[in-house]
Amino acid sequence: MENTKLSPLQLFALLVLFQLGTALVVNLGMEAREDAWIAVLCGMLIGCLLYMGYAYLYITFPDKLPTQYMRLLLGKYLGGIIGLAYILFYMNKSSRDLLDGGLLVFVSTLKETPLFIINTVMMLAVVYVLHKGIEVLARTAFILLWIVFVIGIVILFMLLFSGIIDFTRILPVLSDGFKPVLKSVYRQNYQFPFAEIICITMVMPYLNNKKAGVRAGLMSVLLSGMILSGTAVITISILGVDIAERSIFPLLTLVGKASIADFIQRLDILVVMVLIIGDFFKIAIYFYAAVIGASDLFKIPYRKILYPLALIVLFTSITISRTYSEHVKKGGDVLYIMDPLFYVILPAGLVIAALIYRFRTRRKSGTRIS
Amino acid sequence: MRIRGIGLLVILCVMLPLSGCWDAEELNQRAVVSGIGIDRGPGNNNYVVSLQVIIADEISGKIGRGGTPTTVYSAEGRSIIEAIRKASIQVPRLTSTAHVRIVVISEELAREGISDILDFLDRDSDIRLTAKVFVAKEGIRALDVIAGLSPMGKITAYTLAQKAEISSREFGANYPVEVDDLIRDVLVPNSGPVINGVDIEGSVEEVRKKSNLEATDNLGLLVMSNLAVFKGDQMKGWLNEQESKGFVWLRNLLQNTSIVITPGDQGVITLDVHRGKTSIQAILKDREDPVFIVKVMSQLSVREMDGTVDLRDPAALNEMEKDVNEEIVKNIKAAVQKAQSLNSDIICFGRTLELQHPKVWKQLKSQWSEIFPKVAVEYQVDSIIRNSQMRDRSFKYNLKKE
Amino acid sequence: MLRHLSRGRSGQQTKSNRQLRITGDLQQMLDRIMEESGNSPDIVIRQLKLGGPVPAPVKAAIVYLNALSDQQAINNFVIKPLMEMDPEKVNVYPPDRLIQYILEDALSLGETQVVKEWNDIMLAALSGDTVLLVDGSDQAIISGTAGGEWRAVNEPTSQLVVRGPKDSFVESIATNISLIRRRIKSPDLWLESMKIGSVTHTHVAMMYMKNSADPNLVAEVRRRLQQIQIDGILESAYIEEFIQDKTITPFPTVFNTERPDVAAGNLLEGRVVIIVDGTPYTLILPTVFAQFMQSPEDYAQRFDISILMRVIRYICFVILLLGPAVYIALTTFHYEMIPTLLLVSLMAQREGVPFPAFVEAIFMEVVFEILREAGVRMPRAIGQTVSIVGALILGQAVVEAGIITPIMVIVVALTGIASFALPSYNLSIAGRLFRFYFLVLAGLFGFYGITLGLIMLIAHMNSIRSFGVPYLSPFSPFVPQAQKDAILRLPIWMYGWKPLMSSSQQDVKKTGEIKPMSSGDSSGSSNTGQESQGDSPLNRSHSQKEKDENHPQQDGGRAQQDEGNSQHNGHKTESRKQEDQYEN
Repeated sequence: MENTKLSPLQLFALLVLFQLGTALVVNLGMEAREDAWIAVLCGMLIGCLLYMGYAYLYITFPDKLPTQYMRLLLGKYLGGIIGLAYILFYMNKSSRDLLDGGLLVFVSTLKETPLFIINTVMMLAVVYVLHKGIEVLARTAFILLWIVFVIGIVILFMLLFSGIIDFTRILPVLSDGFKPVLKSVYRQNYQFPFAEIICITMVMPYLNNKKAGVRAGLMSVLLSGMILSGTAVITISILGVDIAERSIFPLLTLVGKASIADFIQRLDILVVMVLIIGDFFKIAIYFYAAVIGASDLFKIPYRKILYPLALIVLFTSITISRTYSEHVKKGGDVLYIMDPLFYVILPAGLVIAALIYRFRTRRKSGTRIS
Repeated sequence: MRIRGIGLLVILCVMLPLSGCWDAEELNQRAVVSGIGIDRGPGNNNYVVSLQVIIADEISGKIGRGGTPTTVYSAEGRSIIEAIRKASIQVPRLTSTAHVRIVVISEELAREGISDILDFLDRDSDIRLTAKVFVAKEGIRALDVIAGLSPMGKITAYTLAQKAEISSREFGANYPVEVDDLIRDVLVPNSGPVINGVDIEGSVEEVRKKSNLEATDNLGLLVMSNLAVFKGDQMKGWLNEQESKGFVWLRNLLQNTSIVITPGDQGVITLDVHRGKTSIQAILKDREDPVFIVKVMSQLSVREMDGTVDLRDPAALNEMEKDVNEEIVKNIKAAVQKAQSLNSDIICFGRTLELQHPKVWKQLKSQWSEIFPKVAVEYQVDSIIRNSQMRDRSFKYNLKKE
Repeated sequence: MLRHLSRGRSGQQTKSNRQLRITGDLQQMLDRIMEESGNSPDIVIRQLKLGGPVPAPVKAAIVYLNALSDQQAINNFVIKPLMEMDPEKVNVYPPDRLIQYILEDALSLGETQVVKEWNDIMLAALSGDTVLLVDGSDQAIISGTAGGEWRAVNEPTSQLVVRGPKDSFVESIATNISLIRRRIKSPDLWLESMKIGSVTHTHVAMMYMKNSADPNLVAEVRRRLQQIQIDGILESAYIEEFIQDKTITPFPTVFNTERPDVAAGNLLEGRVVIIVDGTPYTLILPTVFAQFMQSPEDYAQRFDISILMRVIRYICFVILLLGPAVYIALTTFHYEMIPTLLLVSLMAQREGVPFPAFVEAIFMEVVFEILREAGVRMPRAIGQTVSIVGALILGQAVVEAGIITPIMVIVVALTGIASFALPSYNLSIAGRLFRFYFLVLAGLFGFYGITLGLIMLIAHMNSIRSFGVPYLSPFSPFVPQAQKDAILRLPIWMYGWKPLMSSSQQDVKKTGEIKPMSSGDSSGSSNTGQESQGDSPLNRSHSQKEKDENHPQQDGGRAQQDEGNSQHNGHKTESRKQEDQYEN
């Protein structure tokens, strides 16, 4: 573990950028068609619940990394195996996100550059920043959050002033009832991106203020949920459901439509910038969680294990899927079966174990565990 | 640690020359396409794609050779993208379509169906969704439109796009149609997009020559024409001028237009519409039979008067307003009737029903193509004459007095 | 003109391994002086006979360097009183006692000192002081008679302002210290001095406000200064390189200034100022990035104009970094972003040009750097003209010849001007370096490269610390109070300053009586400076939770000082007057 302290504000910045990272790019909740924004909001609420579960684990063991308290609660071997599973999970997620980001860049701007090079450059940047430590990452996140906000507001104004928004395309609301919304939520929305913040539990022991830190995390879920929901509304308002649901990167398409006075046009590069920044943080945080966990489990210093794992992530990102649709299918079908295991079931088990642990130790020593 | 850092640096430096920046393309190696025209190949099922390429020197450089500011390359292929790539045997630079402003489709092709074209336009990452679409009137090829030159503005595609916008603002018989409007409209049940028409006045041969521009009255000119109605992805017919105007009224896209009335013995009076607002309401007299009420509100001002009406008199104004209302209703009615006769719900009655009575819409959706042509429509027009420019009576009034 | 020889370290040992003490043999001493200085003609040795003829006059000699010392003072206050001493006393006293007598009763100078070390004598003589050696005594008296010529106090050559004080530091450390003292007349302004440089024995002084500077910081600075091992210090930059934190970065982590008002303002905020003899540039540390974007002008104008100016400076920095890179990225990778008519114009310009845009950019940037270097070297009279004319003509000719597109010349010129708009020269150098980095990234990967490069640059800046203070405070560990002076410059009356109380006042406030200052000053909640800054490090407990964002414990206190501050390099004394005016 490093000897640094993060402030709640930095945690907030990290989490917001993390959640917006890839979620802004792809279609969220399109299974619910016009009601995608409702689906996102529901997912946000479920995400808050899950977050409270993760936060509870943090508060129970404020100075321990998850790999440590897993071993504490479940015994050395079982806990170690589960910890290892989480590390592999995070690394897989990290390389999938790397692939997502690389594909985005590949499709929108750098059409000729090999995907490998794009991914390598991103990974180099991630390794460079992580080498300096989580504190640098957090501070950078804070500054970049401001930049992202500013760009976001600029884009919003541009969209408003080009007169292409037509809110009637959202209507009618809930024309097919609530079922499609629920379906979408179940399949996708609560996991992506909200439940993914479980990996922040690896970083939370660095907080210098427990309560404020937990609150910051909650705020970040709410904020990013609202931003994503708003984005869904705007996407559908501008493009209409039909185009939006068939688009791979709807945000790019819709920003491409905005033009003011023939002068400011095709600002989708700004959007790509925002997405690269978000994706960077997503990859970095997932990767960092994996590295810290591995460093803790295998007792290797953090900086040494950084590079080999980075190479693994890089190469995995190229090899996991041969085609884009395979990638999406795996993300949609396969992972939606497997992810709840990591997001819901295992943490639920850990929470129960933690409750039992507290109960037992309280009984044993007769005093409260802080 | 130091060694590692230096090692990393060395790797990076080695990477630089190896990588070679695949994507970088100098500006003077690009052929920037400003307009695309699509025709049917002669006697076969191919597409003939014409590309209007900007020649930068002629427009703003110092070393212009005195040629035309744009040039046209055309090639034939089984699909549009194949044709564009095939055009590279003629074009010495990389065809770059990111600045395409107009897409012109020939009427022949439009009648056959434009779904392939739409798919290409929708999917391509380069072509913007804000490109404007036109249908070339029968007798003209899209190639002719693309190859035309215009006296004002050097890049024809842009002037055409501007013509669409300006005429929609000034005359009200067109409205600018963009690619994504098309795609959305194709998917509306029993409806279809409406696309502007383009025509060439005068000589088709001359319009593409530079000599055309050397006389003050050009021998050939690209002009905006009426609207083409589609059902699904196939064109069904043209709206004439009156119907086009009515259509624009219905769609609530009217900005400015002029209305000419001839009340009784007063001669010809022309009024300008400043603001028009249309709303459609669907009333269910019975479950199967919705009635649509078209409500129009407009504000007008008198522009030209031939008679001796005294505009200070509110009664006279009321009379005029009545006439104006009649005129507007005529236009709208014509549009509705044409749409119903073509059985294409371009006037968005279905959407209105969906928004106002979603449950009924769900029931009627599948039968909409039978119901639509028989739907009853009522009109309520309310116009207000706000002002009469600088004078309140024509000078003829004084003449009359004497 | 202080010579605290005994307090400070006397630098490196001289090469001499002869005896280090004064012997009583006057002639031997004098011979040794002549020998060690190579019979230098500007060392004057004046032999005296003190006292009367009975029993024997005491031989004495004064040694001084005629160029560096104040002849008048020597004649009037050293030689004359010595000549006029009471012979009775002189003959009676043994030599050591005689030294005491001379010290107390004869020399009418202000600064005198008794030394026993050989090195001290040589050093003193070479510094312009007068050495008095008495035969038979192993002590010598050193009198402060330093004089000599130095540059008069003038306008600063860099960091000019339109409104504000126009004096600048000079090469004499005594004058510099006086310029600061003149502005801060507080007993809490403490001064420590030392000699650094084994051969040059350069006088270096460290100034700080006792009750607002973090004692840890001061101790750290002292420690680093004392560790310097070098033969000569000719410029404060040498010291800067020695004492700055060991991170590899082009960004400057120590601020330097030629202006006493800037130095005084920083002192009031709790920073440490290092003054080096022989150069007008003083060092101020610790420093943060935002400080390099501030100019004393900001405080001389109204706040709304200052905010605009500050924002423009930040924009200039961004232009400096990203200007050419964005141009390259747009024209070679992302042509769809350029409005069509501009695109047509750019294309037309490119038609006859042989080089790819990237090569063009590098070429023009290098040429611009060459021009800039040349402009600096030129003598004042023709320097300006040559660089402007050179730039114009070169730019024009190169465009006419069809080698470079006009837009490239515009971009490069704009970048160059943006770099001149930055108030601090060090920062613009760092910016110039980084623009090449961004240029290469843009040439390889377009906007993707620029974005990643930006992330890495921000991460790099975040990882720099200047004496423990994170470089991007107050943005990065976000201190809301400090935002008053970072990018915005809120009106002075919004700063919420409380007057900086001196420690004696603090004692009065707390107990109602004046107490002698105890070491460590743990008494009192020393209400130092602005309430935004919170407490001094001495009372960390009160405002810990507010400030202590993410610092490791060792620089918690220091951090509070510096990021809680409204960093003003300006005229604080004047601003107080302004404050009063507002209250009318």
